[in-house]
Amino acid sequence: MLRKNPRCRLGCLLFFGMFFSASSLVWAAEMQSPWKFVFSLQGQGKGMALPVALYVDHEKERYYVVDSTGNKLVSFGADGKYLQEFTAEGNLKKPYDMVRLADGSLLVVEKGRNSLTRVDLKNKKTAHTVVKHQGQEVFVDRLEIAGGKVYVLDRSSGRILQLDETLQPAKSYAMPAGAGWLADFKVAEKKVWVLDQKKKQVYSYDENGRPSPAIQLTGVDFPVSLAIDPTGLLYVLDRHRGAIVAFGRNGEVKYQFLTKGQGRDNLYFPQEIRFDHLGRLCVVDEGNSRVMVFKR
Amino acid sequence: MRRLFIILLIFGLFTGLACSVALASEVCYKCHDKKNFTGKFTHGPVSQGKCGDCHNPHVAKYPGLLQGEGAALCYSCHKRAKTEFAKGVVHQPVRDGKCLGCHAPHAAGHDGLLRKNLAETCFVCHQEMAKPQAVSHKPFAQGQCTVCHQPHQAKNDQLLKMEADALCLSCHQQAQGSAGHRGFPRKLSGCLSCHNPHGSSRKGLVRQHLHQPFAEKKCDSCHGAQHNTGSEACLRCHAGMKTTMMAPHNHMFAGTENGCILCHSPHAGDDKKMLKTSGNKVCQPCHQDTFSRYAQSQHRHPPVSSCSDCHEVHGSDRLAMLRDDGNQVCSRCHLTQGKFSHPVGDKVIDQRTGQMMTCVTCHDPMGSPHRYHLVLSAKKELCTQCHRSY
Repeated sequence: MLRKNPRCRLGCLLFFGMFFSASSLVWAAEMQSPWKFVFSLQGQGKGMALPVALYVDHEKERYYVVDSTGNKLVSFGADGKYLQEFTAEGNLKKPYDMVRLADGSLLVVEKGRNSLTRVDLKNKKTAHTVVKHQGQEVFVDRLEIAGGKVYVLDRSSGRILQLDETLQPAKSYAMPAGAGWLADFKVAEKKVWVLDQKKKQVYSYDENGRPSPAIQLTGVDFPVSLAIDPTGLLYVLDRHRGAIVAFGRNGEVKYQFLTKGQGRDNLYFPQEIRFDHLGRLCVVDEGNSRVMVFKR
Repeated sequence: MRRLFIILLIFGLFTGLACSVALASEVCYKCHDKKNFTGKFTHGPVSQGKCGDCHNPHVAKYPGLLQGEGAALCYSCHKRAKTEFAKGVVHQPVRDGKCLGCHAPHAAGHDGLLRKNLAETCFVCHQEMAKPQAVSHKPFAQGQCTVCHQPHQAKNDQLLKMEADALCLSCHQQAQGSAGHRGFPRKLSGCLSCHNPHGSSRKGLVRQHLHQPFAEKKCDSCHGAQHNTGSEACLRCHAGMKTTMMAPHNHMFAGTENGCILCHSPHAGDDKKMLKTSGNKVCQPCHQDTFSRYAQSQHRHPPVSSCSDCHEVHGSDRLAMLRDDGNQVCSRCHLTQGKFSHPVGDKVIDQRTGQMMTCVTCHDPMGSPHRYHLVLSAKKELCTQCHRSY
């Protein structure tokens, strides 16, 4: 009938054409990123040299950017406006991460001292602490605070440590045998989520230290940071590709956005991602000396 | 009658085909000396006189009147190879599509149409391997590289046929109980940590430079329950390294094992740094994405002897763990750059970032699709990133 009836042939072609177009649209919608650029956090004057971390103060609704090479912490308001810089009177040595403690003091990772440094802003005092675990010096790297508890990533032993009030380990999260090395971790949904850069896996542990099955990541070259979305997605920052990849909780790629470069939709050697107090996704774009904020 | 006609037709076709093949090669050999196309081993199409399988006798896009370029032409017949050679760790000439780096296209005196014998073929690129050693591994001395390595691709680093320890123990089953390994606390492993699989000046192929405690047989200075684990075990003695690693970007690895021994051999090495492998190869297992991008890029910085020529491998305050800022690290070799080219340096600010312009603002030495390994095309968008009114 198809051969004989040109109308029928045309109808079939039209039907298939429409079907494939609709499928393509659905596929494109699934793969499209919902994130839209809102603003950038950039310092004043010479700006920031190499920002490496972001702390979002949910209570005060402020952003604190850690500028490692600039040896300073730079604060911004909720609207992204620059507020001030803090250098502890020039005494910060290669700061790498920070959180604000319940008493209002700041806790800063100083790589240059391998110290967790408590900065008492009211009394203008700093106290350096070298953390030790089982007699060994801890190389503090990433720092998180959740539920009043402070967590650090130890780059030497490859563990996540929960610290007590004296900043000494109270609990340790050991990684599975054969794990690679850890690039980042976050505390969310009452779990500790850990990114293994070498194995390209995400491990998670509940409050009792019980692990969940590892999530295998595909489609990333050099993962450096992760962020846990309450809506169920897992975001991974790919430093070498300058991209953010969204994964389902089983590791399936949902979509990705941004590319490597120095333009507005680019990232250049980005270092960290995290959510702010409004659920916006923030990217510490080290190579472009800025923090980009995206909203859904 | 009909049957006879069919038989004659088939016979005619067959004869015609044979004549045409013979004609093709004979026509070519009128000018091209046949001697150059014959050897102990001859490529199938050549022996069948099918010059036209690879060459177009009249006109072609590619040099040598070839029908296709590089490996693409080879893969038009060797179809399975194309799929196989894309898997796992791939030998660089294969990745670059340079089949003719090792193979002769017409005829050769060696199996597999190798241009030279197996070892000589390998030594064309791996020149450092050709140096004579006081003690040589038997297969290596006999030029049997493929006893351990696969020439095109493999599942394992260094194109090894098996995982390194399993490969060694597949021949050296007696090693477990040998005198040299007495006291080894578990099943033998990490063979390459002490032994050079090709050759050495030391007996037993033990690598040239020994870690001092190993040389003094003071195993317990590093091993034992009373000692630190992880990188701290090394940094107790190598305190200077600890300081270098106290940088925002560092190679202090957080893993379940000591991160130092990812790159260094704790017992013996071929050089004073006691790196596990030479040159850039030591970086490759972890930075495979960068190596692949470099290998696949059309434009890239010429090869350097070691990644550490530009990168500070233990720790750096700079982006991409560069040794110096993006100008200084380049101008050590590119002496005249920065003096007559686009202004760079701390007085020239990149409007996009507020940071100083450097060589790596415009160039990506690890590879790019653009000329001079520029990050964008120089014909338009590279310059207009900053010079918007142009």
